[in-house]
Amino acid sequence: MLIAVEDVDVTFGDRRVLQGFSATFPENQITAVTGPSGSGKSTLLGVIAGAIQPQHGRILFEGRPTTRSGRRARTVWVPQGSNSLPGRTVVDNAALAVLSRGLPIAKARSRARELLALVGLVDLAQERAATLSGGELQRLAFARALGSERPIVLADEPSANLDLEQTTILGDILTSLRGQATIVIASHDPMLTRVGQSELALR
Amino acid sequence: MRGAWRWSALSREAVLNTLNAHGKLWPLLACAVLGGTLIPVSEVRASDILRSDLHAEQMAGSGVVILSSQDPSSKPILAASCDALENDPGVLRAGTLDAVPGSDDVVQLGPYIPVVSASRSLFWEFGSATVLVGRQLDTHASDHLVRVLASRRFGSLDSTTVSLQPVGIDVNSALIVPRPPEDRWSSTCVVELSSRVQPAQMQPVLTAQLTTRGGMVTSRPAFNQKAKARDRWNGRPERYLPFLVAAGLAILAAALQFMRASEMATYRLAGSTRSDVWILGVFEMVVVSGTAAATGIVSSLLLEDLLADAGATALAVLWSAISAVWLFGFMSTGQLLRSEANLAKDR
Repeated sequence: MLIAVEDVDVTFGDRRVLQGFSATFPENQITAVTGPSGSGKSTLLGVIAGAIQPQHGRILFEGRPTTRSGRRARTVWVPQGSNSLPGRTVVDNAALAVLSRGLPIAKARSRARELLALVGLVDLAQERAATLSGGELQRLAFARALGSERPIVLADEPSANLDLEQTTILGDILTSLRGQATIVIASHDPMLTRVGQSELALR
Repeated sequence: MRGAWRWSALSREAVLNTLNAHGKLWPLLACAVLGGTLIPVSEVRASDILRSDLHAEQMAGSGVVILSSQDPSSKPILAASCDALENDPGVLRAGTLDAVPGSDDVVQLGPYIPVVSASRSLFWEFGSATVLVGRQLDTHASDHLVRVLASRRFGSLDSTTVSLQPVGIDVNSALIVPRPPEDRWSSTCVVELSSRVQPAQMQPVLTAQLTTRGGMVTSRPAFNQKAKARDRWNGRPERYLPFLVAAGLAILAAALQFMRASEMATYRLAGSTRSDVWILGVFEMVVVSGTAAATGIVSSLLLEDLLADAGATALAVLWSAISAVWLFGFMSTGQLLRSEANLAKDR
């Protein structure tokens, strides 16, 4: 899905994070949003996700202005770190997004296995999520995001707390996901931003 | 807004999250088992006190009604009509009691011991004995008296000692013989009522059923104090335990859910709506409370013989479980206000 952000202002108290900001994010491509800490990368993702309402400007999906709830319904968020159900199996964790779409349990688990294969975790499907490393949990989060089948995936610093090897694996997996959804990655990690088919640098 | 989760999938999630040895809810489940068991166990102690109080009141005559003539020497009550009162609902036993005429002639050993004739319906022991010995009579003395009675008045006799009788059936220091068939009229009719029946309400009903002649028959309760056993039972502190268990479980569940913000964030980040996640929490609480209810009801059935009212105890456990779900549902609404990003920060 094509995303356009037009003339957006976001202010937190006295601090202006985004001012007259405009950008487009090509459909089904990975866009890397780069910039130093505090440059507004996470805020931009929050605006696209509908978590933050800008004081000015508009956000368009497929050329049409969207409401906040409309943005929430079409985006999925992969936050920093790794949220999971640690006591449950990896496949159960991956199935959550499919189940939230109303699919029956058997179909959801079957689809979850396909998603785990995409992110290279299918061999760990029956392990508890608590046994996964940080990088594996991040890959699980991407599998879950894809399982929601929302057209836009927003990933905020997905390589935070990952070592070089894990970041490389994550980068390779993201590369393999090209064309599956419009993916926006906010990161200042060059190992990860290299997977972006386009780059948006914030200052 | 309700999302797309199927009810079956939400129920499965709730069961897997709750009955999970690696999950965070097992302390809650353990407390549910403990709380569910605690309610019937605490009622055992209270039931024991109630039984003891009721027995004391019963022995003081709380269930006995005496119907008699104002003139002690007259016999205005048809004995058969008195015996028939035992068929009334709420009546445990009924029958006549009369001093045996001429029993003073019996050679006494020590203090005077009266001989009383009573309906067979009043003492089941007449089925196997022809004379009954009051519980408080000295064994040696009563044996002697039975022998005397046998030789002088009644022929061959088998005797047995009866259990202690309540106030109003005043035979504990007497010898009791069955009323001869030819004695059709009696001076006194005594009725023992079940503890569930109010003697004051039954008195006119009983009096109205008696067939009388001559003198006027009046009724009076044998127990002149205020019965307190039921009041003490109704005011027992254990009565509030189901509410405390419900509140305790709901508070603990709400605290654990607050500590599971990261897990709740996982559901939300996977696309679940706020209300679906809230419903999941309530379903988890249904599993927990269901465990408490099942444990409590099974415990109530196992302890049935020790409980004053096992059915009421099981219902109290069920009420407690339902209240816990309701309270938790109310307490956890605050989580509906939190965004997934906010929940995800609480690890």
